[in-house]
Amino acid sequence: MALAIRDTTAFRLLARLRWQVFRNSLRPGFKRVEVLIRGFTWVAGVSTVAITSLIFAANGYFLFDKRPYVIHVSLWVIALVWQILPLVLEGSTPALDFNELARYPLRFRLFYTMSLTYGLLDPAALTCVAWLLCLALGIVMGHPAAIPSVVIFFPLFALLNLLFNRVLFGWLRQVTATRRRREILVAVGVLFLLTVQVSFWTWMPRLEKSERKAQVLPVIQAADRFSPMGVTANAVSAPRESALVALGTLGGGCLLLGFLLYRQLRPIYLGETDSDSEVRLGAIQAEPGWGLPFLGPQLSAMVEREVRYYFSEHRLWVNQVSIWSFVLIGALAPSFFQRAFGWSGERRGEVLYPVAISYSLIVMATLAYNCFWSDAGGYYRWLLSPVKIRRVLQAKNIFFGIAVLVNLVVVTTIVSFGIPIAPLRLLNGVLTTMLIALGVVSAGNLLSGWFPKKVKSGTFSAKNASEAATFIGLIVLAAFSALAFGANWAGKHWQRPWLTPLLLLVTVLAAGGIYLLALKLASEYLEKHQDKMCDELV
Amino acid sequence: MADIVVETRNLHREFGKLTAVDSLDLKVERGQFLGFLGPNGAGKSTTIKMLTGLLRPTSGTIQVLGMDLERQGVEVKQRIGVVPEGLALFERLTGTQLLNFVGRMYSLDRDTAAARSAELLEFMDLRTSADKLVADYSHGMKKKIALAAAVIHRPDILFLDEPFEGVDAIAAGTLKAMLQRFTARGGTIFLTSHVLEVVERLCSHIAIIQDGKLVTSGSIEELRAGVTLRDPECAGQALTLEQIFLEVVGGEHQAPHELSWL
Repeated sequence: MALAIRDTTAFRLLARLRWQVFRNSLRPGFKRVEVLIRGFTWVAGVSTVAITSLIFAANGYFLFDKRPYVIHVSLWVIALVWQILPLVLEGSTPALDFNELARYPLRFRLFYTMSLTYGLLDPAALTCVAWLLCLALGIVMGHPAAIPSVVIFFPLFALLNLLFNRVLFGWLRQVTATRRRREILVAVGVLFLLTVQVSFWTWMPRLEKSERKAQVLPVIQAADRFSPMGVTANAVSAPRESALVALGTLGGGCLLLGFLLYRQLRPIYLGETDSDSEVRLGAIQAEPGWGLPFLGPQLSAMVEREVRYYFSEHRLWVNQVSIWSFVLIGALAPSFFQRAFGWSGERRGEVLYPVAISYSLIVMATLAYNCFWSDAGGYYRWLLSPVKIRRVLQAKNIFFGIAVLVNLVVVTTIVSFGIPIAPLRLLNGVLTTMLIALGVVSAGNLLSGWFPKKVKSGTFSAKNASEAATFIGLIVLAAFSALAFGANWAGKHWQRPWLTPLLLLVTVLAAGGIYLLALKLASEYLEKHQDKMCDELV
Repeated sequence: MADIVVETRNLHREFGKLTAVDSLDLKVERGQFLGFLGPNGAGKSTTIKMLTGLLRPTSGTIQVLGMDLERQGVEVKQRIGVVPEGLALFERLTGTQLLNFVGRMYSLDRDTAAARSAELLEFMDLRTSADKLVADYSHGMKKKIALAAAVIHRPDILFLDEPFEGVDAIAAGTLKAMLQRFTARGGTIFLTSHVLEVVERLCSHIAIIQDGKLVTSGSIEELRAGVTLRDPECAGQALTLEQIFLEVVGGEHQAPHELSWL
């Protein structure tokens, strides 16, 4: 007879599993630099947590009675990090599918508590627990009278956050169980964030500082008063007045969320799954593929594939649209620049165009740093096709070039709505874009081979390139931007406006040479390391 | 003299200390339907990957259609079709878009690629799913679209790695009909499969590999003639491919250790 696994063994196994998944992600191998940078990131992260924990302790010790709002703010920070950080880190941290555990001989009660334990072992949750503990420690050391309320309400607050996080992720899992729903959710999520930001930046500059305070503060105070964060902070600082309300709110919240989690986990435990099962009918559309001018059938087909993949990844094009929205705000909301930076109309015209171009290029650059991001198993298709890998890289570069060109046209059009762009400035903008794009794509071809990364599509925060590729790519981007800046500076310094485009043209030609060299080196590297690329991507 | 379309000489592939393919000498003639068999981990997939340019040999040479694969890889790939392990599909294209894309990669003009895509989707019974993303296809549908992608440019040789794995009987029937039609018209097929009944029914020739080494090859009749079962009760019976396979790879004699607890 099969025996159900013992609770303590299960928890120990779960903790070990999480640790092993993390440790395996740091295994040295093909990508030593990648491992190094990841290790450095983790060390920096742990150090940051340690330092911030001390700050939380100090807040509790010194400011508990002098500035009680600091406790409110601290609890808000803890709650927001607990709920939002896992979303941000999704796709870039090692993880496993907790629901897989349902097929092991676990009783439901244990499966349920393991779900909570699994949530507690998340880096964000561990960080928040550390902060909460330090805050509690600071409070009880400085103010022993607060010990009972801290001991009761902080654990309740932590449990509420834990339950909320599990319910939130469970809900997201349900919604994203099918590819179509997942893509829609990502698009809606990004559009929502975009709307919030655009509304904020168009609304805020219209208000004077005093108006801002008068209008915003009551909203924040009301939100705090009725939130678990405000309730907990009040209960700790003034238990006699607020303890009952806090007990009801936090306790009731925990019960409700606990019940919701039960409703989510039960079907998983019983083996119910969601999948893409809808059947769509349609006649065969025998429309021919694209025939792009000056490109042969192979290049046309490959560029078409890149474009289709780009648009199938909602996250990418919504990101692009968000850049254009910010440029639009910059162009049409002069008061924002006047109030925020004290820039006059002329200064705004001078700065906005190059800033808009540079900003959009920085965001777009990640497309080039890992140009095989979307290929995964399809990477074999390149190797099976009668085509040299150099042609594949060229096709990806052409797609990047088209994207940069479209971006340049749109940004120029948007900026010129609000600020007239002089022909010389336009020429400089075009040359600067060409220079930086050539730098980015040259580095991108090499980085795509050195640090290939399979990207999980349809996640909120999927990173298009590895940490190492992004880091090195940004250095290259900065170097090429510095060249463009130098050319602009030279033109101004010697008061020779024609000098800037001339210098830019020379650097563009040099960058063209660098591109051809990088293309050759990258192609040779990819041919030589074909097996490793397959291991990484397929 | 027979027209050899695939020939390997002293083909060798190592993964670290593991030798996956060991001095493999193999010849496949034009029009043959070759079943390439072996136990798990014998080196079948590694061999097929090397023959199709997905994996470089550690040493040895590969000639396909009289061309050296190392030096004339692009020309060879233009004339072969492959259903590799993992299928190598761009799953975020629709079925139609994928076939169009593959056709154009083999330099078919736009109209021909589109016409053949439509025909293949019809033939493979994927008409109603033509505009669905390949990511949303079932496993069997993916196998069918992968085979369609392998034949769209009318190759001379087809390399198929486990084409029937996970495919239902109806879909398998469609695939088999297509493959038989392909060889009847002079095409050559190099197939790996664990479904020995299917191999026995479809293939004209068999090659068996074990521990990276070719242990036997020939037509099924030649293999039958060369193998004698040790079990006296089977004497005089026509051997099945499964019996031949087990005899050659020694499966019957590899009695697993008893699991005392099971």
